[in-house]
Amino acid sequence: MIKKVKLLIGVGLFVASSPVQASPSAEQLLKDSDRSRGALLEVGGMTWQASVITLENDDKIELGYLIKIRDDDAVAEVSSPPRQKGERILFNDRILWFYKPGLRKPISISPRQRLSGQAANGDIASTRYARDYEGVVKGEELVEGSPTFVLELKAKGKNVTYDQIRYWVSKQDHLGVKAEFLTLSGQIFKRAWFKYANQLTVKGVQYPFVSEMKIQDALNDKNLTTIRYFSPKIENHPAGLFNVNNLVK
Amino acid sequence: MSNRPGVSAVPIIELKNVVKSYRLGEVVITAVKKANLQLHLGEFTALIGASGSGKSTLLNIIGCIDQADSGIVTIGGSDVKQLSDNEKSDLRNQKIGFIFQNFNLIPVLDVYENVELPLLVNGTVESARERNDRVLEAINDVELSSVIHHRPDQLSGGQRQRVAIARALAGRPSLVLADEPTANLDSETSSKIIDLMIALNEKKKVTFLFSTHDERLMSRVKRIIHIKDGLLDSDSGPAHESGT
Amino acid sequence: MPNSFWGLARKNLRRNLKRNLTTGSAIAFGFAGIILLGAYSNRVDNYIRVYTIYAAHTGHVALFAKNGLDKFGFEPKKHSFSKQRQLEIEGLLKNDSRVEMFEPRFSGVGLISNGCKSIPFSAVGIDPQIEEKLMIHPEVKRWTPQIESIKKGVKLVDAVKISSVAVVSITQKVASALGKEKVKTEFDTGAAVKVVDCESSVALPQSDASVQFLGNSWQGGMAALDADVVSIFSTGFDETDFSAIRMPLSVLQSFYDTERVAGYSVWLKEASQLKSFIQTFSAALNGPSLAPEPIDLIPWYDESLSPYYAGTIQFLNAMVGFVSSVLALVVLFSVLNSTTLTVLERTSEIGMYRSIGFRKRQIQTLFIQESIWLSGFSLGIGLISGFVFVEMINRMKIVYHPPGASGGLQLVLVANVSAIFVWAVVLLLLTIWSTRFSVVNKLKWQISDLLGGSGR
Repeated sequence: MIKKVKLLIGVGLFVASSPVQASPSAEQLLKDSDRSRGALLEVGGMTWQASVITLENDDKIELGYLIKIRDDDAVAEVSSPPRQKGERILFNDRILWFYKPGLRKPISISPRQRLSGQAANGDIASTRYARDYEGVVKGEELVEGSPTFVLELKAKGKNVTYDQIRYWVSKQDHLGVKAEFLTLSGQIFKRAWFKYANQLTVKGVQYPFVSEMKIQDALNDKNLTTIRYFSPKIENHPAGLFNVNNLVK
Repeated sequence: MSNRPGVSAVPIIELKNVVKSYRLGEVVITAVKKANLQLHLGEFTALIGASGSGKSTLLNIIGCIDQADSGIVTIGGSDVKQLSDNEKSDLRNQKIGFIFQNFNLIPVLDVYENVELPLLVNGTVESARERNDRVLEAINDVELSSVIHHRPDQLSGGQRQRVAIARALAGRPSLVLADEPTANLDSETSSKIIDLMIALNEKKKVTFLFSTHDERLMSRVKRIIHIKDGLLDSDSGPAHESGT
Repeated sequence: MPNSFWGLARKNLRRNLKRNLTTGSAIAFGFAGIILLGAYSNRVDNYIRVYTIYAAHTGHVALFAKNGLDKFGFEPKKHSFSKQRQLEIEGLLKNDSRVEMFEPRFSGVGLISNGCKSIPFSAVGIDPQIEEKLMIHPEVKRWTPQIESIKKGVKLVDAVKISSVAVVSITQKVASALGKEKVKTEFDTGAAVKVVDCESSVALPQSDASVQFLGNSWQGGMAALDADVVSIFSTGFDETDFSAIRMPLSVLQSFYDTERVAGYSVWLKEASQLKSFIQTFSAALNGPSLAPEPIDLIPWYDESLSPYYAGTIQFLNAMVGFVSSVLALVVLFSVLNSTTLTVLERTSEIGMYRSIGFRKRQIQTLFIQESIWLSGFSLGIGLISGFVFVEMINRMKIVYHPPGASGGLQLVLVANVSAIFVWAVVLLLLTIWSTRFSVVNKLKWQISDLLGGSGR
């Protein structure tokens, strides 16, 4: 009898001391997925290039950007086509400015304004869903055969790109694989899919980095914008690069 | 054929078996029953009968302002049944003059204008001058020249009837029909009107046929036709000639 | 056979003077009312017509790329004209003797900002010289003299000389929303344009007349423009005043990074040539072309192009037509009532006329001529009264606020002479008809019945 009790206690202690695989919180999932979309907070700065290819109304438009990140700030400068060279979007946390040569001063813009096609201004810089949205894990689904967590995200404030997002994050490596962008009333107006073919090494550790975001008009699936991200690297940038008063110079 | 002096031998009006009925609700009343009558140019005739005897109806038929149900009415040799409405209007305008019991003058027109009325539509009057001459002649005939621009409301009853007589004569008709012309006049005025009509009959050789139930006038008349219950009862000369 | 009794008819009017005066008053004031209504309608119609054609830059005819009127806003590249096509069209317009002037059409939307706050805008690109010609056009001076091209500031045609950047004209409502009530000329020249601190809690003073435009470039990406506010204008309508902007066409095209235009507004020398112009010009434009972009030619009054004009005029015509008809009916029934009573009272007189030889038609003519005298005289009084009332109302300078219009509008009446003539004829004919109607029925009676002396 005592032996049995001891055995039971021993099993119970063993179970209690073993680490349990609990589901990650929505916040953790968002932080993890943000890292692969540019929000590597432990590094000082980053640089990558992006091309925005829009197919709309039988028209194809292609824009190239060079994006530089420093903490919560970013600047995206148009690299192609030549006629738009010199145009810049400055991200000071959630405040955005646009400048193009010839303007006397920068113009305040919103992250949710259209950049090109289905892409909004907020789509080309780093993604900070953990900072900008309140997330709830609603369940799990398979996306292209891979298990994912389904999160419902609601904007924390007004100056973010989308009001509501339905976000599928892979269970295995916590990468955002799919998103549906919703209006305030809950209507889907855009869909997006993500790929992570880039690799970034930070302090000896390799992380997958977003290589493609495909955004599609929910009402007309022929309208499609693809943002391709390439050549991500860790790079420090001077603070002055992100000062709105220096944009005009 | 008439053998009276001043009277033409040819009848200007002839009625043969003329019948006229009218409906009063459910009842049919025959106002004129098989009337046979001849009137000659220049005659001065009274149609006498009690009220409702049919004398007005007979006058209306002769004057083409009513239509007989059957029989033949001939005026100036024409069967009135064959005449169109416009032809009858012309006949009344040029051949027949009417004098009404209640004068029927236009109150806003003066004596001249009232007398001129039938001449406004008289196709035989060729000019305004001729029309003017006829009007003045007619007014003169009835001795109203002094009040030529007076309106009816400014005239006495007798003067108004004179205006009506002048109007009836302005068109130089061959027949003048008068339905109870003295009914609304006092006896003295009535007598004067009859005198006037007699004088005009003699002067103008116009046939006069008038209806009356005033027996005081019978002695002044050359021919009397009695009508009773629609039937022409008797047809005679002046009362003193017949010995009655 | 005589058929005219004007003298007798005129004298007969003196009978039943009270009734004739009442009937005459009904005719006179009914006609005066119709004149007033017509004057209001005439003025509003012409005001909106001239506003639509000239002040709103619509032109007599609008030329669009096929389906461009509806779709230019959604697919501007697809529903606009290339430079080549523009040259062809402009060549044809210049050589057409019916054309007084023309202006390319171009518009767009986006955001206008004061540096901190942005509001949506709806911009129209205009040719400042055409604008100048339109504002001094004789039609504009006649019908819409109170419409000014600008309320304050300098006209765009002159403003290009005073600013090194693009110049724009904005509405008072846009100016108030952005805190840009002062125009360029109210600031010292050479004042620097500053980046404002939008986070500052201190109310932003208006330090310059600078505004910025943001939109979507036709080549992809963002479009942006600096501009100076040089004038304040009004579209005349509250709804559009919230976002309307005007700027030179070349500036707006440059903003959207395109040389294309949506179409053309064409003004003709004679508006009556509109239909023939559309026919022949359409045929010419559909002929051989280096850039065979199909076109739509739309007349200015088409509801799709000028919904405000079409809707307002339809409503106005319905209202005025209805009320005028009611007035005419009132006149008709007054006359009918009066003539019916008159004929009734004069039954024995009609019998007398018949017995002394008047034909039916002559009696009809007599009564109709009486009516013509009465209505003619009454219409004359009505005409004079109508014009007097029109003049009185105009002198009172009454200001009213039609729904949707910005600012007040002075109530001005302009008599429409041809409409007055038509209505006078209509009322006269109604009077004649109603008289005839009353008399004809009576003339069917036997003469003895008319005289009432048949003894029955």
